[in-house]
This record gives sequence, C-alpha cells and structure tokens, in this order.
Amino acid sequence: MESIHKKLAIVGEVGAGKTQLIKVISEISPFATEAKSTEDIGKDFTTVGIDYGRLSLDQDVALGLFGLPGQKRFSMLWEMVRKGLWGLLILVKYGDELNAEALNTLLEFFQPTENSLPVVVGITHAENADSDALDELSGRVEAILLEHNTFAPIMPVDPRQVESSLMLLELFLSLNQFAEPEANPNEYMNYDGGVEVNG
Amino acid sequence: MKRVACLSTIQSLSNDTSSSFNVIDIFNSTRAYNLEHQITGSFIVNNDYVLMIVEGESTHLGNIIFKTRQDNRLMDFSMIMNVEIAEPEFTSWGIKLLKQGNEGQERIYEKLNNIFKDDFKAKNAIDKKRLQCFLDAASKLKTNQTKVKPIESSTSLKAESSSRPAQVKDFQYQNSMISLTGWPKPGKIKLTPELIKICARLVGRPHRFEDLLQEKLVASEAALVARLNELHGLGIMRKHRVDEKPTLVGIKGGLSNKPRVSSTDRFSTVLKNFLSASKH
Ligand SMILES: Nc1nc2c(ncn2[C@@H]2O[C@H](COP(=O)(O)OP(=O)(O)O)[C@@H](O)[C@H]2O)c(=O)[nH]1
Repeated sequence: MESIHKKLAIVGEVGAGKTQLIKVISEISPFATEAKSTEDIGKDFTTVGIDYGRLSLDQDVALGLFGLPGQKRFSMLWEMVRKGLWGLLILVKYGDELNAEALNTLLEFFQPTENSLPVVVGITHAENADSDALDELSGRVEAILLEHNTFAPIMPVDPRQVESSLMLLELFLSLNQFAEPEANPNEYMNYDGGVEVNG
Repeated sequence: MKRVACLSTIQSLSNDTSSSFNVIDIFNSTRAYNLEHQITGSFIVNNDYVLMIVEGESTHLGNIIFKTRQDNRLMDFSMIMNVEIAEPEFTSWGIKLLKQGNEGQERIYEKLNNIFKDDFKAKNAIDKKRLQCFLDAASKLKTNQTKVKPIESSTSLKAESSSRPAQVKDFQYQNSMISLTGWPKPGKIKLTPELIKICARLVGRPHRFEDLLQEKLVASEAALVARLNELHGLGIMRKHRVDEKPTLVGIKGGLSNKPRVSSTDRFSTVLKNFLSASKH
C-alpha cells in the first residue's frame, strides 16, 4: 500500500513552543515510530536544523511536524517544506512583542489564500492571560491576516498539554475538509453583500 | 489601466461605538468582485474614514466605484484621484487599518506619502482634511515603528463582542442562510470541536441552516441552535437572503462548500478516528 505522509509546518519565534508541541504530538502516536529508512522524511531535515517529529497514525499514514523559525532569514528552511503542506501553524508567544513584519513576510511567502493552505494561529504562554489582552493581540494578528486575504482561527494553545495540541489537529482537519484547492471565481461573482443580523 | 482613489466616511451605527464590524463587511462586499476582475488596491481605514485605492481596467473600476458609492454605510463619497497607469502598484486587493498598533506597514506609508501623493486631488476642504488624516496616520506609523507598543491600545477589529447585546433568542435560524464574518475572538469563547466544525463551515461562507443540520455537525438541532446562538452573541454572524447562492465571501480558497478532500480520503479518516479515540 502506498504510504501517506502529510506535512504540518509550525512556525514561530524562539521560545514560542514549537519543540514542545512537536514532542507532545509525536509522543501520542498510536504507532511506534521506528525511523524507517527512506520513508522517514524527517531525516534530511534534522540535519539542517529543522525541528522534526511525526504523528504516526497507522503503519503507512503519518503527519510530519516541522518546526521552523519565524524570521525571514530562515526562509530557505520554509522553502524546504512549503510544497504540498497540509497546514501552517503559526505560534505567537503571548507577552512578547508581536513581530508583525515577520508575520507579514511569512504570509507573503506561504500565500495561504492562493494555495488554499489552512492556517491556524496559536497563542502560547497564554494560560494566565486576561481575555481582553488576548483579544487585543488576536485583533492585531487578525488585521495582518486580513491584509493577506486570509481568515484563520486564532486561539490560545498550551503545547505542553495533549488535549490542547489535539485541538489544533482537530482544527486543521476541519479546515482541510472545507477549503477548496481551486476556487471557481464564477461561483462568487454575483455576491452582493449580506444583511447584518444585528444591524 | 487606471488607478482611482476615493474618500468616504463610515456611517456609525447608532447603537454601536465601534464601526469596525461594518468596515470589514464593506470590504468583504467588494472582495469577490475585485478578485474576479483582477482589481488590486487597498481599502485603507483610519478611524471613521476610508480611503479606497483601486487599480484595474476602467469598466471594472467603474462598477466597483458605483457599488461603493451606493453603499449606505458610507457617506460623503468623493473621488480624489483618477489617473492612467502603466502597471499596478499593488499586487492584490486588501484592507489596511491605519492604527498605531499595526506595525509593519512601511509599504503603505511609502505609497501614500511618496508614490501617490502628487496624484491626489482633494477638491474641497473636507476632502483635504480627510486625506491629510491618512497621510499623517501613515507617517505616524512610520515614526512609531520602533517604539514598543502599549498593550492597551485597542484594535479596530475588536468590533462586536461586549458592546453588542444581540437579541439572540429572538433569532430564527430555520429557513435562513447564515455566515460568520470571521473566527471568534479567543478571549470571548473557547473553541470546542463542535464550534470548530461550525466555524470552519461558516467563516466567509453562507450556509443554509438546514444544510448544517443535515451535516450532523452536532448531536441535535437544539445543540446546533445553542452553538449558533453562542456565535451570534459575539456579533460575528450575518444573515443572507435565502435565495442567495450558497457560496462566497470573497476569499479565494475559502469559497466553495464542497469538501476539499472527499470523505474517503484516507488520511482524514485515519486522523479523525484517532482524534475521536483520543477524547476518551
Ligand atoms: N507556561 C507555558 N510554557 C510553555 C508554553 N509553550 C511552551 N512552553 C515552554 O516554553 C519553553 C520553550 O518552548 P520550546 O518548545 O522550546 O520553544 P521553541 O523555541 O519554539 O521550540 C519550553 O520550556 C516549553 O515547555 C505555554 O503555552 N505555556
């Protein structure tokens, strides 16, 4: 049987929680991961400094997890995983200054809308954040996403917790099932706005 | 090919101090058309003012201007630039919120204050004043770039939420078509697997209530209504005419209701099974 490997890119600044998340998800694999020769797509990556892990779901089905630094100077690493991505997870560390420029560069590079690439923004280190501050940060992230014509769920994530990490996969699964690879422009030509429910 | 710029003022909702919910809506209403007709440009918002710059073939620009002018959420519509261009300055159609918190917008500063400045022709005092607000705001963005942003500065997208006590319980979902203008803010609601599924369907895409029900996203009709009420209470829900085509809201790749992967897709199935097994 042909093996299925999907790729999830996890991008974020140092300390955002990439390594932690990859570790937690890899460890819940229902199938033991013996890095099997050429099948193990991770092998090439670890040598160049990409954080790698995998969620093995079946003998021949796995999700590769690729932790990538968020700054532009690492875009050659982004290049290595960009093709055929199943999802792009952006981790933002709560309490750090939001690096809008890095986020812009990242979105410009991956072009999620053009590529029908599902995006989720996880806010880490947010367990003690107050809800207004969380909304404020997510509003700023949302504004940047909108500039790239991208809608994405923005949610607090604790990569140390299995449940929280699984929720991310749940999100990507839903987004993947309901995003169209190639939108047909004719389908939305006649749209003329809508009526506000609350208006 | 032309570049046209127009100024307008957002009509504030009487019961709402923030007009940003409207702003995103107005932007959304032109997004589909602009994508379709390769219109590039920017919908720039500064407080209550909108500066819309569009580039493309003149007939299409005419349509978009006509449409925007008719939008009764915008007032004092005025064209302040209409020039022939060889090639566009923008690569896509997007929204820009000129707020101090929104860093990384050097390009809009560059365009407004350097590239376009001489082409702006403000005809009267009101237009001059409005235009100046944009130029000033853009310059401020530039000078504030390196400063640490105060955390309490509010974002203009923080629309809906608390200031909107929506009359949730009066709303009938049956026989109506609904969509969400965006994902819920994390501080307002905790996403559950049920909400995730509902939002993944509805963000930017109108669906009939009955179709959602049929998809069995949640256990019962009552549960679906309860989840929708939660979302409705956040002020991110829109109701559409039922005869409207069940498609759109303008984001390429987010338009169709058709599943991207068929339900037989092995990876999805295996992952789905794994996730439901992990819940116990
Ligand atoms: N309290 C808290 N700690 C976290 C969270 N996410 C990650 N960490 C911790 O922060 C540290 C840095 O995380 P790491 O995964 O190494 O970040 P990376 O640089 O992005 O790979 C580790 O000790 C993590 O356990 C979070 O949401 N809350």
